[in-house]
Amino acid sequence: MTHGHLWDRLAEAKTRLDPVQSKYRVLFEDPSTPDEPAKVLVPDPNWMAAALEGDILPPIETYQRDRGVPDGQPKEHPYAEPIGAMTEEEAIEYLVQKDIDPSVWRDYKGNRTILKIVPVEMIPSDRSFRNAWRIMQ
Amino acid sequence: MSTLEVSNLNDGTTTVATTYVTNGSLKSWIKPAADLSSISDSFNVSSLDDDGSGDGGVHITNDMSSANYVILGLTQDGGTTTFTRQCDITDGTQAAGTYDFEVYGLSSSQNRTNTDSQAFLATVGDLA
Repeated sequence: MTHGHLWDRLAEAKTRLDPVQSKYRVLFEDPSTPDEPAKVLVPDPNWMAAALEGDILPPIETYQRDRGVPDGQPKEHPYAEPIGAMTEEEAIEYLVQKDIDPSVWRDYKGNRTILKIVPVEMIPSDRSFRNAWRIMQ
Repeated sequence: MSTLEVSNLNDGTTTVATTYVTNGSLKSWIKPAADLSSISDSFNVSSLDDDGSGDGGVHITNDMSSANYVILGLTQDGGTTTFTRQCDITDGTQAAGTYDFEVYGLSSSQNRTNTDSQAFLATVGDLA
């Protein structure tokens, strides 16, 4: 194995890459908790820098396979061969599949729009009613 | 990238195994914006969830080996002496690759109320 451990690659990348604040946010609602407000997924700037650089992050399929691995058992993603550079849009799609439950982005069959990728400017800066935010239909 | 392969470290008088250092280091950390709208800086974090006022979640890039790891969390006190602010981990949310946290204030005249306040979070334990 020549590519090392994911954590080591992340540590090395943080010393070398400038963080990249994404111009996107992911708005989503959890269908299992319909009374809760819409959630906002914020991409990490160091993670985004690694995604845009390439040869640091593992294939998304390794995270998906690792979802079924019991606690304490060996996981695939820290040791997998890293993938190449992504565009910011591809990185956001990767992040949706990694950090949002499949019940939101894959399995939901209802009529509501429960996931939207939006420019960061579309997220209200006035948080007075934060706990009542819903995705506009 | 060059690699030093050493089993022990010695400062002239004391010898410790390199695992002594790697096992004891922080495995991830994050300083989100107080309102959870962005991330100021971090390590080994892929994203932050803004789930509501004082209600967030952290997703880790390189998972911990299991849910048996320690989360360190603090929040700023807001400069007041009439109430306290605290940060806790939401029951049942700690998993190998993610955890949820809440930041709230309470005082003698006000029950616990989630609030946007600066949190600082880190994880210690074994990596996957």
